[in-house]
Amino acid sequence: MEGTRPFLRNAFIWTAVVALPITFLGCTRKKTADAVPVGVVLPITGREAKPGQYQREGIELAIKQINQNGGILVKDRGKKLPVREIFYDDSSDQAKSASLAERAMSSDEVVAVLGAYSTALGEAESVMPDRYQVPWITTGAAATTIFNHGYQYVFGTLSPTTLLGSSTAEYLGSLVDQGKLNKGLKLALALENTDHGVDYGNGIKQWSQQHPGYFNIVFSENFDLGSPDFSGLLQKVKSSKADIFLADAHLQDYITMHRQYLQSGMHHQMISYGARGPESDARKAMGDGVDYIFAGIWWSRNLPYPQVKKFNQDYKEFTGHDPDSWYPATAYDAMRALQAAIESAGSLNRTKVRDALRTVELKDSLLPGQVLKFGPNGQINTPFVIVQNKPGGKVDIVYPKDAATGESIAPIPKK
Amino acid sequence: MSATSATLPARRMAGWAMTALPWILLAILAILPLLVPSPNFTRLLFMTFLWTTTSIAWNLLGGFAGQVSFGFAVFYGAGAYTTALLMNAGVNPLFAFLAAGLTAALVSLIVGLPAFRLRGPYFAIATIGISEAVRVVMTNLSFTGGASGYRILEHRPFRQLEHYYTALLLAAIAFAISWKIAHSKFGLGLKAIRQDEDAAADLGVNPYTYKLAAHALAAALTGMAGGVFARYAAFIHPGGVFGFHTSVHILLMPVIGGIGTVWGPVLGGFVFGIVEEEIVASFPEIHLLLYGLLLIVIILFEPGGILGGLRKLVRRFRDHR
Repeated sequence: MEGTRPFLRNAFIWTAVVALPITFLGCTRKKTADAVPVGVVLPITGREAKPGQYQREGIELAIKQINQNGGILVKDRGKKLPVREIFYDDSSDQAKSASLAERAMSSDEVVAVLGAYSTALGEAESVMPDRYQVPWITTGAAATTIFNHGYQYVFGTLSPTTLLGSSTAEYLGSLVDQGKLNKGLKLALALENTDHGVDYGNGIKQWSQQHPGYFNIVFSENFDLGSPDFSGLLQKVKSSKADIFLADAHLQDYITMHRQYLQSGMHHQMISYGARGPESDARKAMGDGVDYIFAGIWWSRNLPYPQVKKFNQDYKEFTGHDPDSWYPATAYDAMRALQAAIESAGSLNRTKVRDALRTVELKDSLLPGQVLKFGPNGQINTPFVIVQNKPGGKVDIVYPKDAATGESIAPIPKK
Repeated sequence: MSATSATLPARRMAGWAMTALPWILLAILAILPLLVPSPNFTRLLFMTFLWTTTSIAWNLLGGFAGQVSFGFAVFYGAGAYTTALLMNAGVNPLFAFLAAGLTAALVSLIVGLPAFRLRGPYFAIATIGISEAVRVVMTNLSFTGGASGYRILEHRPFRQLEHYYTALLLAAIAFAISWKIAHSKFGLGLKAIRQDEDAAADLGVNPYTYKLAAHALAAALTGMAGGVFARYAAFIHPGGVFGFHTSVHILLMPVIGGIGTVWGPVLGGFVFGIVEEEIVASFPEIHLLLYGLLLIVIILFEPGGILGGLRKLVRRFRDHR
């Protein structure tokens, strides 16, 4: 009996180890003919987990609503078909992201793939759509490099990051025109060393060159994405004696950098972290330390459109929390644009859907301007809204004027 | 008939089977994508061959010679970037892969010459440092795209089978090299170094030269694997190919399969290549938990890896008969 136990234990363990791969290989995703399979590749673990999760919620809300209305009308099938989501978590890893997008396109027979939060992951995935001729709509990658390779199946629901940079500069310029800020102020730029950072910096530089006299860029340096320490960089920013500090950072870097900014005791007349600023995680981490930070974002829940109000309500009902920053909206609209394209194509044929995506116009879009339309390179070009954090956790749209829900507070008061 | 003479034919049969097994496996893998024409299956096996190649390569140094390196991503990345740069300059992919192997081997000498002055954990720590330093440099090197990554623009249609057979051939070459070394005087020298470096030196083995040679060979194979991957992915970036997690993956496979053996790294490569992705794909919410559990089960209950466990199982099965 004594000898039997280890034998049985080993047999059990090795049966499990050998059986696992076989089980997984046999465990292919259920394929149903009467559905519209849509691949979703987003990070819900790793450093981009939070924004990835919010984007997933946006897509799933859209799918839920589409299915509640009977699904997507596919003319060549003569009926409405429900959407079937095939979700993959890329763990915020570029190689995995490309690999899973490829898997969805090559083996899951999806009509399209949505996702790729962050430019870095989007860059890796963007190779696959043309290879497998499957439409791909990135919901969270905005760098122009993704869209300037002549790819035919690549689309994106984020406006270019260069526009974010120029909108940021334009907003600051408007504060100068209003007399809130002086002309000739010195800018310090800290840019993540990716195409996203390059585009953001270019946008600011281009605007400054086109509008001489408004600002002088006295400092511009890149930093590593996901760096644990920005104290050296911030010390240089301090030494530059700039009046305005503009960084382009992802959520985790924004929180880390701004925490160290606060610890350093620095003060600038205006401060921004690009498209990050109003996130609830940042307020939870730093409290009123995030007051007065402004951000250029692709969408705000404060936009005064009826469809936005309805979305806010539906989203809260669906997830139990309010939309955080812009993340769920661009994903929600990507799914709705795909629905419109499939209905317009009247088919699940991927090339026909791609052709329809090129001409689709979502006229009740949540995004600023209320119309979502892909440009010739596949990327949309909707305007940005500038929001500013206010004391007490309030976030106001402060630019453009016609959408503003509050006044800009500039310069930032010293505490 | 004596017991010895009765077991002799059985032993011979087992020997022939072991010699024939790689060829049979190679033949099966060569026809498999034709029998199962699924792009996803082909891609999964393609990646598995690359992981297997790196696993075998790491085992040459870490398994046979006992030098635990956490820096193999340096060679993988060097190979990937060499291939990418050369291919964009119009060089034939096959020459680019060879150049990738050569570059990685040269890099291994630059790394190895100072690092092999260190032993045990000090060597392992040094490789971590070198790996991170190289990643940071590559992240800030503008002509390779820096942190934004580098795109390979190949002006010809994508043919998945071409990539598949390249990876299969590379894995087969890696296996053949590993097999040859395991049964050679050089291999014995490496094993002697693993057991006692000073004693090996007393017996006439030059540990420094042996380690450098094994390191260069392993680096060349890893570099070529990186090159083949870069061509397939068409987009590479320092955080991926030079990432610390790449080094850990490369190290983990021989540990899973059975360190210091010929077949262990192959098994490890297959388990890692297939199971990891299948878990990610099938259970997106709990894939890290499941993968972690699988690793814990293997490492806790079977330090000898899958191969060690299978051997034990066979032995116990024989004893029970």
